[in-house]
Amino acid sequence: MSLRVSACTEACRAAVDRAEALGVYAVIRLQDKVERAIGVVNGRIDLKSVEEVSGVGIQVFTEDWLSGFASSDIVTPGSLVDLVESAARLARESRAHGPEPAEGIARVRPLVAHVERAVSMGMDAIGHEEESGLVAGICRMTMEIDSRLAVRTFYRIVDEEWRIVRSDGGDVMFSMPRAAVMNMITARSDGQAASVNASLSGEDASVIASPEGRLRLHKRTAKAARTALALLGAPRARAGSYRIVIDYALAKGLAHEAFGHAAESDCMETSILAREGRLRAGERVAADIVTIVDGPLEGDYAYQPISANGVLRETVEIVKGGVLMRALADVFSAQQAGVPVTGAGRAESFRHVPVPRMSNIRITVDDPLPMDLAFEDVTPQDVRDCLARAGLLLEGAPVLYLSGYKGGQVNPAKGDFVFNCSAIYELTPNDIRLCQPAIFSGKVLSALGSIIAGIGRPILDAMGTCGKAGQSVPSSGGGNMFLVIDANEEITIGGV
Amino acid sequence: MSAAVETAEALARRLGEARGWRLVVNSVCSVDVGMDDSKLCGHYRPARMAREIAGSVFIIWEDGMVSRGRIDSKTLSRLPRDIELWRSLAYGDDDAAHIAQLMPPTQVELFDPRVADIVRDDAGPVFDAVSEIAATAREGGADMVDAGVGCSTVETVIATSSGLWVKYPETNAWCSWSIDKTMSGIRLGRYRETLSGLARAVSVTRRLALAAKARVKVDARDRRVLLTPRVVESFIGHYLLHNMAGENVAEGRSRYSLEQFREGAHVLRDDLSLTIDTAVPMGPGSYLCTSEGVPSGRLALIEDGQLASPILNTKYARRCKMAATPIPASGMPPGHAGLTLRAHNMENWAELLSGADDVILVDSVLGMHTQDPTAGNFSLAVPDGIVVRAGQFAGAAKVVISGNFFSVINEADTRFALSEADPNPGIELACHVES
Repeated sequence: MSLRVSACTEACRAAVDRAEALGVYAVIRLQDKVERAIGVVNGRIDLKSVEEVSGVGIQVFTEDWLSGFASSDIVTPGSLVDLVESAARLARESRAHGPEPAEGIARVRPLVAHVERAVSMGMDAIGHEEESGLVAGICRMTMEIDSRLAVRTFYRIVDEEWRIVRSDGGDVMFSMPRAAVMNMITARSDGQAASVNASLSGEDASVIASPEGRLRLHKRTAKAARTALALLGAPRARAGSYRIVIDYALAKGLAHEAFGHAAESDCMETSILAREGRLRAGERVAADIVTIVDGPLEGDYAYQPISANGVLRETVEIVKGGVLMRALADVFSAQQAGVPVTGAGRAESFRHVPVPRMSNIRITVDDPLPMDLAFEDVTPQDVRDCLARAGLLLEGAPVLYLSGYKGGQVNPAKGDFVFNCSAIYELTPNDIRLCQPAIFSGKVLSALGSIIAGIGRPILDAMGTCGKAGQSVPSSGGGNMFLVIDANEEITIGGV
Repeated sequence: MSAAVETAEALARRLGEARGWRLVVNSVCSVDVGMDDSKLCGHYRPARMAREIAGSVFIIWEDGMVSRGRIDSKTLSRLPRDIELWRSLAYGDDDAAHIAQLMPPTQVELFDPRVADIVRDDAGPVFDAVSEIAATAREGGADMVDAGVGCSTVETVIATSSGLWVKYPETNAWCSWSIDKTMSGIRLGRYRETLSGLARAVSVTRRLALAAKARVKVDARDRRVLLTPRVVESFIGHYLLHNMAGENVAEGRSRYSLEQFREGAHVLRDDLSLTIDTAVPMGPGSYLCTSEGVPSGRLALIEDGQLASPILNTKYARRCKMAATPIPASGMPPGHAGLTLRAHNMENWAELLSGADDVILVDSVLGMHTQDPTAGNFSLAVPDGIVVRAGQFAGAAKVVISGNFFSVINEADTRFALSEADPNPGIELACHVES
């Protein structure tokens, strides 16, 4: 065993023994993370840092399933014993205030597993000087595109390990390597400004060190930078409902924010995908060409093979052929939601209690329209021509092509979502007009029901950070290169 | 000797040969209790306690290179190795390679022993506060309540190679609640009283949540919108804070250039000012000095509509050839961190609201973080925009509000109104509303 968390066996044993003596069930979550970051601003190194974070969170359950939690960054047998005692005391103190029992953990079978993801270009694959030089080079290359650009390049590589030990004998260890580089570009001229991002993510330093990674990032960056410059004089899109095209990063946003969160088992009390607290499995929620899947992918930025409760993470078909099939469920809320456990529990750190959440979510459609170009090489004209060939772009009915994902937010209880993009292209049979970004907002089920086509093969590396429950965990996903969503009164663009 | 002091002293001794250094070590203990979907201490919000040491160190080596490192409970036991690791990641940054000269920290009271008692001995008041929130919300007909209440004690040590050594205790208390997954509220403080007397604040949120249950239709047009102080906080945090940040100004990522600050460029209405004050006694965002040793205090960032100073740490102060400033605390709304927007002749919030007619009251928006702060344009979904007619809530509608933040707050007819409970004003302004 080479994982660092394997060295904590004695401390875990002490905690389990103390829990048994106190008559409580314990889940011990150990995290050990090494993270190195480099920031370059306008060609100059602005930050180099390394963080080594390790600690433990212990959640205990009393005989009547009341729960308490305690955490510390000291991982010794004595510290873990103290934490078990503190968590047990809090759980019992809560009894006087009418708490909700937290059943579920005892229903899953104990798992003993060790999943170590070996990467070819890990934390130590390239020297610090070379690494800094690569990141600075990416920043400078971006600045050379145009003198009106201010650029911040940020690179992060993470080697993260977890160990989950339970009172029932469950003991799992796994690693979650990841790396990402992002260019944040601001174009300024004549008192106007526009900001765009370009990024590349993966599991190791190849995102900055391999020729393929650098070329891909540069193509994305050049495309984004040109867009930022063009936006300086761009008009505003007129608010309204349109047929729209979204790229795969926005599709990831739609799948994650608008749909994935509503499919998480802890939301079933209020989710639009549930009725009386249970998943509406078997009901049609999208056009019949639509499939939505979530699950860990090897090599992905958001890879996590085992849940933070010590359960194998499954790949889940949430929607198949437009029909709602399964939820993303953890051990605590699966039964109440009427769904099987899929190992969906994730936590930001040892300080946090895990909640069901996505890893890599993708939304795809059957029989997509062909697009032979690489995504980075596709122009708005290529999108327009593809739509026109398929009869999806008609005279008098402009299509808005939304490019670049700039984040989103959703209310799973109401099904309201909002996303922003980097730019909007108004496509007509004879013209393409770049417009300022504006929000894409509406109702989740209306959006899914209005998907009428996909363009190109799926791309699944759209990177993000999921902020559910105040915890930040890596997320990713994608979809076909582009999705086409028909005009719908409940989906609007803008306006500004 | 406490663990924080022991760690700081050991580190300071080890760094004696460096050209310069500064460090901050926080020893934190906290307890919190939550309620999700009206369930107290359920699966995802058990009663929690945490203890941890967290901090950072900045080192200027003999060759002028600099390093940044993280401090935790294990730092003490692995010091030679950690210093070696930090050295291996040293880099050149001439503006950053500077330790602030010794300045006496501002004396600010930040500690309530009664809060420390809660953290150390008795979490009962934390449970009680959650119960009070839930009871108030339910009495008013709320279907679903989410809440979180907690307290912490922090012992902070800040030291620099220029001779600063300051150690001080602080306490924190916080309450947050959300009713029917639509409207929410927050209270931050340092006193024990932060956790009590919550009924009045929760009932304000409850009234909004109940109003949102009745749905009405509104026309799409330019119209008056009333942003509650809570929403104004998010506008200030997103648009003003970003553009006032020294690193963004210095690197061309702000709406404002350094030249504009030097010239005192007019960027807001004549009667508008933006001030930072991090020395408010028992203020939730107050402190004695920044982690770099810059004393806490009050400073105008925009005065009478004119740019006065960006927010500058020592690095960007050197780069901009200006004085380092207090820095707003992170992790809390800007007003609680000491950043306040003020207009001359501000009205009273309750009176503005009761006198409102044919306006949309906005208490929460979706998508703020997706907006471009430099351009100032906003296009935000409001799932529950409350229609106010003759000072009464007439129901709610889902709308999208849009405009340019810097334009709309500068309009002559834009009104600002303060409430007793909020550090920043509510704003009534005109913008486009899409239904």
